[in-house]
Amino acid sequence: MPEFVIETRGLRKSFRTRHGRQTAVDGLDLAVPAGGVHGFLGPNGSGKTTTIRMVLGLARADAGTVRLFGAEVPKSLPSVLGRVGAVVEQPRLFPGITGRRNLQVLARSINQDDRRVDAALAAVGLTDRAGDRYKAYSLGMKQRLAIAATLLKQPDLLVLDEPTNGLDPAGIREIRDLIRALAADGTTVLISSHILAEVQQVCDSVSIIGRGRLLAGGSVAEVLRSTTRPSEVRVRVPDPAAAAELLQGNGLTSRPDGELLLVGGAAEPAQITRLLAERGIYLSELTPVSADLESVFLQITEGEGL
Amino acid sequence: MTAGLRVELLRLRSRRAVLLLVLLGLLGCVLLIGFAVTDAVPPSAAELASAKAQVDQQLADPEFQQMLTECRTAVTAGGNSQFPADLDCDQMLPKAEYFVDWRAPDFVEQFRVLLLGITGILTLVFALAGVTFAGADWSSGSIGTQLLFESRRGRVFGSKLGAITLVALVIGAVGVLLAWGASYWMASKWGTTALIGNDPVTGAQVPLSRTDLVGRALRALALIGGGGAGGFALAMMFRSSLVAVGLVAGYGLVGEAVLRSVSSGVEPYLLSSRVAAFLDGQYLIYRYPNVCGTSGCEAEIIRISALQGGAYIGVLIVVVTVASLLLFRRRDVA
Repeated sequence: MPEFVIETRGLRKSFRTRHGRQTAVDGLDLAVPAGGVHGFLGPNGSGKTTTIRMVLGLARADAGTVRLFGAEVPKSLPSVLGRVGAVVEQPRLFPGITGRRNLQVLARSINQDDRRVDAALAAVGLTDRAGDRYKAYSLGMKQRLAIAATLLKQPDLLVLDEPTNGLDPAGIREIRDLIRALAADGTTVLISSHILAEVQQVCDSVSIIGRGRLLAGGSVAEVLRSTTRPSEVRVRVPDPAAAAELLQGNGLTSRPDGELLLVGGAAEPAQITRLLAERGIYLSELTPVSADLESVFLQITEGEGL
Repeated sequence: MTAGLRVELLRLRSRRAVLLLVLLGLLGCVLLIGFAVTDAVPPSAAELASAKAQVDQQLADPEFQQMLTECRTAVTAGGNSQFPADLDCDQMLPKAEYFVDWRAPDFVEQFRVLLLGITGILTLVFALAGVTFAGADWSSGSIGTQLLFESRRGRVFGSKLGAITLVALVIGAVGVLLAWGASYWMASKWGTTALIGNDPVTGAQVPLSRTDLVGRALRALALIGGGGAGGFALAMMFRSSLVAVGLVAGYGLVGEAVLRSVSSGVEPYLLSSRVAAFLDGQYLIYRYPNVCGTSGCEAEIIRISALQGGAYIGVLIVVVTVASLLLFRRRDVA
């Protein structure tokens, strides 16, 4: 297997709109490593779905190259498509037929039998509702059936575009567990999502895009380390206003966070406790705030004016 | 391709709208045959008695008797302006069959009429089935999901086209056999099965062969299959059932009428003329001159052959299908 399951170089795509041509993807260089779970992040309209559609051959690129498992897309897509399962945007199956029949139709197109259908339905917990018509499903059930459809191929790469949309907390947890299980079995999973806490829980690596360009990428740890925002601590004090004035007077930053204060700029937490104690202000709580993907994402996208 | 065709046949079978259309189409065919059988059944004894009573009533009418007497007298005397000398006055005598709406069924004519009706119904049904088959894929977005399982768009298109055409041909064959069987049954029971047709210009009887009838049946079948393929190709081209149906209905209901009003010379090139020629073996257009001579108005007859009709329809379907395929291969899918 090549080092990267998906590679794009200088990928470009624009659409004709009423206001002229609008660039959706603008010279995107993307590399999704083989193995693990990769998050594909970006604000709404940043070009995530358009990129995924070009990778899967549903849309043509204006310029640039796409490689899937090393094969050129769309020219050699048929040779590798059997290794890829994908749900792009919303789940889209046949509304008038049952969930099981939907999967049977797709399974037969790749010469799979009903045993695979049963296994896929069981994997997403839809066995009991498989006989219901698709259009009677809730959005969460449709999402799960679409994921079941991707499993029919037993894919080496699973592409999920906003996979937890419409799912309740239990459903989100099921999908997260499923993604982890698939990744543990050696499937590479690419998740496009805007729920960053969700992504951080399951992803090994991420790519952050904005306005169709790659803004940051790498392992989650690398991206978190790349933040320039200083580490902060969250403190609870009886008089936040007095504490804030004191801390700012000593060169630290502080901003309210509900009833608490977020304090930054201290070399170590002890500096804060000492300064406050010297003025008779005693802490009842101090919690280090570590950078998370959301803050890094916001910092990067805000920096780009997105 | 075969696996793709099997999948599309399964998908087609799963579409309720398609099943409903096919059932309605077959029901329409059965009803049509039912009406034909009702017409072909010989009159009952009561109907014949009623007709005879009407004959007796007319014979007893003094005005009629007076006219008959005047006719016979005039003919015997060498004729006059009202009753020429060569007139057979007895032809004026009423007969029971004049009062009974029945003609002994003739296999050739019965088959021709039934086949026209059944072909019309099934062509419409399969054009709509083709439209809804393709349109549903686009409206549900499932075409994108299908392309994630088979990215060769030409194959996807070909499998779908093959499935709808194949089903149209199979059901069309059932319709044709129904028309043949029902016509033969009616003709052998109450009429004549002789293979004799009429010349459309002179009205003279001309002998036909079984091959003529088989050719007619095959042309009907081709039109039904073409209807399915054409409907599918149009909906794939416009990615919408509504647009495809609107286009066809617009042409059928308004387009041809507008074209006819623009020029009378356009009739040989209208789709309806070509379809009629293809189905019926030929289509005659009588074109009268604007100014008639002293000897009367001799119409110019333009004859469109089945071959000309078939070529026109074939080229039309091929052009729409190829254009639809090229667009499907090139355009992005949401």
